[in-house]
Parts: sequence; C-alpha cells; structure tokens
Amino acid sequence: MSLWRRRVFEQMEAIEREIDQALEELFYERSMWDIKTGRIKPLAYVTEAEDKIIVSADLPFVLKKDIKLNVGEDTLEIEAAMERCMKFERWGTVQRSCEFKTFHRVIKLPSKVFPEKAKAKFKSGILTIDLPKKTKGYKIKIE
Amino acid sequence: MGAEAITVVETAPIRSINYCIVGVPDVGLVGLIAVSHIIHFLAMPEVGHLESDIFPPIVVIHEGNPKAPFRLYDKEKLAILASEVPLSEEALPILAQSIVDWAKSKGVKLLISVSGTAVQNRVDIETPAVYGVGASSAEKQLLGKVAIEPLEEGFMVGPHALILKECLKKNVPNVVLLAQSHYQYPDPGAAASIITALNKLLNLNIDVKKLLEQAEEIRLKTRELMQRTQRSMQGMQKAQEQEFPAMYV
Repeated sequence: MSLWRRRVFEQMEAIEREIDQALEELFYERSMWDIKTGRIKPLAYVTEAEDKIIVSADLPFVLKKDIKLNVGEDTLEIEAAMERCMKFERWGTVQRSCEFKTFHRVIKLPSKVFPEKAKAKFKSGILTIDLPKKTKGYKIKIE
Repeated sequence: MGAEAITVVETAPIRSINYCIVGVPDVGLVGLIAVSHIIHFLAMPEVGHLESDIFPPIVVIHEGNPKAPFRLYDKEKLAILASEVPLSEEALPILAQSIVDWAKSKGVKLLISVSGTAVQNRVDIETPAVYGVGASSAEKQLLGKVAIEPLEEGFMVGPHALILKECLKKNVPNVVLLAQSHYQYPDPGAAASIITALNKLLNLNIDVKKLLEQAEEIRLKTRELMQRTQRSMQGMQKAQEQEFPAMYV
C-alpha cells in the first residue's frame, strides 16, 4: 500500500474515532446505567502509546475472578459482576426501583491490536489492560 | 461582569470564622469527598449557599428538600464551602474573588483549598502523600510545623489556583493541600489523606475509618460526577498540572 493511501486510511480512521467519541459522549449525556439489564458503565479511559493501547477502568465492588474481558482487533468488552448488588433506594425516580449488579462496557480501540498478546492486571479496584498495536511507526534512517 | 455576580447567601448569619475549607469537584473528586466527610462527621449545619446567574441551572434534592449545589456550612468558626457540581471555566475568576472577599469579610485566619494532584502510579501507593502550597512565608512555616511537604515546583490549574492568586492579591492567609490521587477516578483514599493533614494543620480530630470503609460505595456513586468533572477539567486545561514547568524562567 502506498504511503499516500495509508495516510488517507489513517485520516478516515481518525474521523471515525471522533464520530465514535461524539456518539459515546451523547450516550453519556443520557445515562451511565441501564435499568433493564441492571448494568452500569464503569469509568474507563483509553490512552495510546507508540506501541500499545492502554485501557483502564474503575471497578469498585469487583473481585478479579469476576472480570471477563473479550478482546477483538479493535474492540474491548469489559464485563464484571459486583460482589453485591447496588440499589439507589432514594435516588431519582426509576433508578431506585433497580438493582445494579454488573459493570459492562464495550470500548472501541483507536487502532488495531493483537488480541492474543493483551495483558491485564487488577489492583486496588483499577483494571489496566495493555494491548500491543498491530501497526507500528516507520523507522527512518538518519542520513 | 463584576465580582458581585456571585453572592454568598447566609441563611443563618455568620459573625466571624477562623478557618474556611473549600472543596469542589476536581482531580479525583478529592476535595469534594474530603469536605463531605468532614461535614457529616462534625454534623455541620448548612448555613447558606452561593448564588449566581452564571452557575448551571441545577437544584439538588436532598431528603425531599431542594438545595443550591454550592453550599456553605459552619460550626464553631470552621466554615466549609462545597460544590456538588463541576464549575465552568468562565465562572472561576468571579468565584475565586467572591470566596476570598467573603472569607476576608469574616476575618478568616486561614483559607484552605483541598484537592488532588494526579500521579500515574496511584494504584501502587497505599497511603497517598499530601503536599502543601502556602501563599506567604507565614503559611509555609505553618505547613512546615506540621510536617506537610511543600510543593516545590509545578503548575496549579483551576479554582484553587485562582483562589491562591486572589489571596496573594488581598493578603488573605491561604494554603492549598494536594493529595496524590487518581486523575479521573474518584479517590476516597486521597481524600482520607487530606483529612489526616487537616487534622494536623487545624488540630481537628476527624476519623477517616468510615470514609475508607465506604470507599467502594463512594467510587460507585460518584462515577457520573467524575465523568462530568473530567470534561470540565479538560476545558480548563487541567492536564497542564502534569507538565514540567520551565526551569529557567
């Protein structure tokens, strides 16, 4: 693939990411919970290093054994059952009728990764996943 | 727009105060979590609120009672100003002026801002350290006396930075306490460190056991506020606090 074509694709991917983020923010304006499924979205952030993508998520009331991660080439799904169900008995109108029992979030990754090389750790309630990137930068020889 | 755009409304008159602590949604929600615990632990009565047309159009309902989101508490000459909503960048200069003017009018002996300072390895830190910034040499000495390590070099961004500037301008004693914290996750552990530092600084005796026991519940219940606060911090370029300052200026 020529350098020009690669750049066009990279720009298109960047636009796609911006659209995804805008849609995600729009969703956040609505809520971070779903009373139908009893699922809560955890706080999670994606940072991009030169050779890997790092995703972290805050998972209170979760034990390591109850975390399920499903990694694809460009998505990461986090599902984690909480130790105890949470009920916001006095909060809002519909929320207080629901018991929340699981964290769930699907994250679109900013570039393609090797799913089989992903590594995760869970410490003090914070989940951190390192995902090595498939595409790395070009090495340029200095003349 | 003048400083009168934000008014401190006292629903119960306050004659004078010795100390005033300010905690607003910020890095790791540290300041807000800390002052909320102090308010509950000391059973501090609500004695007023901040009012302004430039605040977001929000009323909070607690125990069926509508309340302003930015409220004032006072007990035995200790006042606390606490906001339940993130502050917009535009409101910050006027807010800082109003808080400092009000505290000065009450003869405050020390105005204390409490917040977090983000550290990347927070998960590896069991008890976060607290750093202090003193507005003048007197406050620096005060921090030294209670062994609070000074922040030697760095940037401060946001409401506490502006309060510090106003205090310097108006000669109001001010310290800023910053606990090592998560940047974008609620951090009750960092809030507990802030309270431990306040205990030493103001000779208080506030137990943090319950705060630490409730840490996971606090993290869960403040997710949405943290999410919103993170966006507000982006607006005020809070990430600049992570940068190295120019060494030779």
